[in-house]
Amino acid sequence: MRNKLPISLRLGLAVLAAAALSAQAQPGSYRVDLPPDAPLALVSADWGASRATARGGAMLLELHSTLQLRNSGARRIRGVSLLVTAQDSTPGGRASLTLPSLDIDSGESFPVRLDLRLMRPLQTAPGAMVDVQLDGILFDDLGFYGPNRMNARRALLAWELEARRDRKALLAALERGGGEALRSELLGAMARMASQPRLEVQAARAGRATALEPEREVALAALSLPASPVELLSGSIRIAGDEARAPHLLLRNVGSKPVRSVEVSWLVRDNHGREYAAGALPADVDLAPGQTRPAARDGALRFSLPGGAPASVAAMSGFISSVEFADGGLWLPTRQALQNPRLLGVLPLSGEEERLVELYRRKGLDAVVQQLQKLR
Amino acid sequence: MTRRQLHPDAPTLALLAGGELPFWRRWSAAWHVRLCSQCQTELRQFRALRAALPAEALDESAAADALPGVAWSVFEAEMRANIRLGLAAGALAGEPESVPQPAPAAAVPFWRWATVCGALVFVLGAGWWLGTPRHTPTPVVQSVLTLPVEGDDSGTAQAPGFELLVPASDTARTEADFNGGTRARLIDGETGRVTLQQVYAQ
Repeated sequence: MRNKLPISLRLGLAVLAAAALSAQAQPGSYRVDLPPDAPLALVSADWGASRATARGGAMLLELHSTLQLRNSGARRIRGVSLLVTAQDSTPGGRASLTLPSLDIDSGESFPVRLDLRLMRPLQTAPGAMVDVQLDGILFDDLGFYGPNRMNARRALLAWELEARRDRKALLAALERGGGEALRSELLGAMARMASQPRLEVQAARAGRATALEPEREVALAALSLPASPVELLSGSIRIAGDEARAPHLLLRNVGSKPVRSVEVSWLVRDNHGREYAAGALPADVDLAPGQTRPAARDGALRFSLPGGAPASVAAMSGFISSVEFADGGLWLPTRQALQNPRLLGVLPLSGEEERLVELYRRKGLDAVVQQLQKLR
Repeated sequence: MTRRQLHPDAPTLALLAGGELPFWRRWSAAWHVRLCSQCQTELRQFRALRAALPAEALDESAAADALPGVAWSVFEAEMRANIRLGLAAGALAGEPESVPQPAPAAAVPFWRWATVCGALVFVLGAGWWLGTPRHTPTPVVQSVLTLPVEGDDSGTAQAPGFELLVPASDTARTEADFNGGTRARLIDGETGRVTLQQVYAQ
């Protein structure tokens, strides 16, 4: 080259390079804050390509990280829940990351992958942009450690009890009929999974999404599962087109123990008569034995078919899918209760069933047998 | 690259001395000459040489008048005809490989712009590489804040809320609840590890 590049071009290149680099968030922007007495220690934190970009008056944080944690306690860990906070008061500024189905021995390390997007205001107090805190740890004896700010205990315990229930059923099949019986169970679960219709569900915080469809209030059909300590007596919900909002429920504690919270699962029927599972409503309701109380929410859900077409909602029904007692105990429906023909073709597999089916699909029957025997 | 290679070449300095460079090259060369004593010396020499030449030697119309006996238009027509004849003959006979091809007149500007384009591609590529996650992500769950369009009170705008966008995958399942939050269940088929992610609206 005989001549220099023009100065303006060189300046432009420098500006472009600076812009590319500034998108990378600084390492000090992230903090992992575990209590000193926690039976969990941070080994390393790789924030990889995490980055922060301005979007109007807010900052969009894309987190891509791998944390390496170690069980520094004496008990085996079965689940961990972390709270990831960019800003407490900003919608979308807080998330939780829960890892159930773990089996981490004392002194053992394990990775936690974090791929999240969070929002926070541009102008905030100095300090870390993202805080990762411990919300809870579940041990193999079902003991719990942690502040439980986001109900990590309920989520971890529900997963663990459901997983034990489903593993026990699969193990029974294995002991009854050997590998072929277990294979048959897994193939049946795969077939159920493949045949179930899927519905995309979006949550909207407030207000009606459309003024084109007339809104109507419809009664909720309540499904009753055997041995449920809480009954869904009645309910109503407002439906307009592909949106359902403001459910009102009437709940009754028919058991003998005080109840702290319930989770109601929803089934949606469209105009063609097809039925879909459509999420759940966890509700904190203090219910003494024999007491009846209403529970209501203002939120709204929008339903769409895979591919994005709106799904017209004709009717909705609900059933009690879990109950948390005041003493910390948890009730879940039995597998027999879930054999209800109305639910069988609609309810998705449990998380543990899906995990084992995926393991079978990828690694074969031996891997599933190994898991069942290890976690029995 | 040596310091010498960055100097404007002699023709450039000569054209600069006569004020015959295009604006951009003149500005660039003048900038260099301001800072380079060696080029200042060469430029002075060109200017001195130019001042020493008689004014007629620098004037094209004066050069034509200096040879009044030559029929310039006939001469030009003959030259053009010869060039066309040569091109036609070359096309019929095929271009001999040994004939050197004339270098394109814009060779230097081409390489300059090629270098600039290469540098731009490099910078943009580096920016993309730096911004890409260096691990293979598990099914990515991302919360997307849906904000109302300002000034849109038609009633058909979507209410503010969240949605989880999960790539089509058999191992991911999303759920929403009336509290405004959205959660996803992700299962890594290789490790069998499960991750439950929930983004809170409140």
